Amino acid sequence: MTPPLVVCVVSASSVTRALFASLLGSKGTDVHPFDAIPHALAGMVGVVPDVVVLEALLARANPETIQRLREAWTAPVGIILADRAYADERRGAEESRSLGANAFVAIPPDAGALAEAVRVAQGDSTRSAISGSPPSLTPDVESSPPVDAEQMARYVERLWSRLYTLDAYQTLRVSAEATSDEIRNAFRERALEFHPDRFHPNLDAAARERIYQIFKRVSWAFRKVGDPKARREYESGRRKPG
Amino acid sequence: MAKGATTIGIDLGTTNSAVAAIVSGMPTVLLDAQKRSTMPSVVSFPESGVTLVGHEARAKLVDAPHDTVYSVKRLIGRSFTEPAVRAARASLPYEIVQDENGQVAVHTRSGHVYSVVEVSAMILHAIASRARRQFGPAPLQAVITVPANFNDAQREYTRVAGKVAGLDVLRIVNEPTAAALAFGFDGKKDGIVAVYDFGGGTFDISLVEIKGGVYRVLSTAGDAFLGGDDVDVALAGQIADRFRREQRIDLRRSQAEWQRLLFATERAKCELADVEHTMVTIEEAGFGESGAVDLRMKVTRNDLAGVAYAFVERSIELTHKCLQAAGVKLADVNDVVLCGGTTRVPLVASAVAEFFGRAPRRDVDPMHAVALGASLHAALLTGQWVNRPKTAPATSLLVDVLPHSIGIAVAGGGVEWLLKSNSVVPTEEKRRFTTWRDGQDDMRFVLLQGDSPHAAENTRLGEFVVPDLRSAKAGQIEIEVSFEVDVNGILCVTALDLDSKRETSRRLKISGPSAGDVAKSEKRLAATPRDDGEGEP
Repeated sequence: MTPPLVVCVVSASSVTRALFASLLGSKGTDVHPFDAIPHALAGMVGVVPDVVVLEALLARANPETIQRLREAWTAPVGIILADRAYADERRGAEESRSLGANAFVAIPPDAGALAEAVRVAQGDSTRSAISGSPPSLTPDVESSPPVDAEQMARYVERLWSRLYTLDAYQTLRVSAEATSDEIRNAFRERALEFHPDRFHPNLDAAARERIYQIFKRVSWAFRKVGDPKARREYESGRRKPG
Repeated sequence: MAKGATTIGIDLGTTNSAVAAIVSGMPTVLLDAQKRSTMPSVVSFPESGVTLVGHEARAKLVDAPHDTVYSVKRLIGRSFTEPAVRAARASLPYEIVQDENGQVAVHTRSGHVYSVVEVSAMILHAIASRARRQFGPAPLQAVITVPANFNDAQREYTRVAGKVAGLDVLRIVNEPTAAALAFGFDGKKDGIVAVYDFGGGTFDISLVEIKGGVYRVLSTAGDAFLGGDDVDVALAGQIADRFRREQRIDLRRSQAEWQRLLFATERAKCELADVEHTMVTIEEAGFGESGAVDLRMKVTRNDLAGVAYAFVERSIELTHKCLQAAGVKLADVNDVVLCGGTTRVPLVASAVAEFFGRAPRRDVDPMHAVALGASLHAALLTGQWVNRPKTAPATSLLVDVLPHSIGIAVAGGGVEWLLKSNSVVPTEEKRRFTTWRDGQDDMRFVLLQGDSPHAAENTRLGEFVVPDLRSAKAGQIEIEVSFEVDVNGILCVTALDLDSKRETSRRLKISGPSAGDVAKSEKRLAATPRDDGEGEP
């Protein structure tokens, strides 16, 4: 009998951790959720994972993270970056590879996509995927929005279903430490994805309504953190209890 | 062109309007049968016979000033009691009355009463008929432009006017934003563009960042009562003063004489764009003790500069404010774009160049930039921009902002702000409110738009009521109100009873006429035979 697959899920969000644990655990996998990288590394003593699922925001905040994770164990480990929905999953996969991960999965994942990512990461774990080019986070206008209507519809659906659980940074898909320039660039990227003026010929009225809802939330987020003064107010508001 | 519909962009101006469409891949201004690109935004209602729209109506300003309606854009979406309307009543030759909804209507001496929306619809219908003439009788999908500083009500009433004119209104877009699109569509340059839009009736300044095909408005400022018409009035006033000193005849006493003087002055102002001095000539300009007296007066660029000075200075003040709001330094501005007829006044162009330290771009006619940009936007919205130039970016997206803050009136005459000016639209802001007394059966909110901390100094957009609350103690009922500004910059409100999860209203518009009034206007328009000089079948 083969030993169960050991997967560590590293995410700052308890919801993400729980979701991955339930999806993976149901397949007889041994799942260890961790809530942030420093804790993760400390807590991983005694656990040798086959695969690590890492929330992409954590990796982006510190691009060396993935390399450090690899070096934490002598045995090879497959790394999956998980990110809040990407407009273009191909782009997500590309960016994940450029950051040195082996596979990519969207948050929240479909069970099938997750199983596939785990399979790829496991098979791929013997080598690091780091390519020559440094990780690039600049908006790539031409590749967005996705041409594939079905992919876009899935993306929209996923994001829409959890729209009001995201904070301003998550809505814009930046880390809470992002610079003003990064926030502006992210806003521009989100606008290209979700502004209702973007012509989405293949989407039905319901999907367009959702895109509109998402953009209203994106502009809300940009209002809260797009301007340094507003951002300070937003931060101090968040620190208040309740 | 896609099946069924034609997309157009309309610049509905205070003094002149224009329409454009994409013709073989390029935005193109549509001409009338006489090859004229603009059309005066004027409607004349004779006692009997057909209503005149456009050039022929403008000619009637002199013979029939009390029956000829112009500058309605200054009145649209305003309530009768606003100071702006009172000021307009004092200066406009036609009579302004109040309709049943407190909105403004015009009452001509010939006995016609039309709402401002109806008059605007006649202008829109006339200018749109150029597209009908060129592309056939297909339905028209239009982007209509408004000054960036237009408030909620002004936008909504403009949208309704388009509907009454039989147009499928794709979008209400800000004039300077449209102009930025017209200048930037070739995709050659990224950077920050200042769009200085000085039209016949309004002034707008917008800072637009162009990057990777996204046109993001950083800030906007403007004045709804600062336009070329004001320059005409001031210059005509100066000429009238000279004439009175020399001839002892006051041309301001008679509407007809004053209108002829305004007409001649406006023409002289336009000529001064190209020449150093010109003559204002009016035969039998006025009548003195010894009979009719002609007016012949030399007007120089310096005379024009003298009267325009105060207006230009005000515009530069607003430009400064706009830069500050965006946190943009003068050196960060990569391009300055002029649009609107008043930018043809020599002092305006030179003052703007002086302020920004660079020569403004002149590669698109300032009279056409807004309509051209609107037509591009219409094509982008419908995915109909075919044969686009190779240099154009694959994507172009306008991201615009709210011109004035929106808030609710609170006890003590203050305002609780919901959305501050220069917020990106569309957007929403949710707030929770609880009942403040036992057995309270409704909640009332007065919505305001403006930039003053005192409720009374802002425009009152309307009242919003959450009715039929169940009986409960104070503080027990909690309502979540979502204030939404839609793609057109128009406010609507959704209220949710958090207790019962019942939506008590859904996307309720705060401004605008009722559906019944719109239908009534549509019928009236159809029943008013008009000659717009556009040769419509």
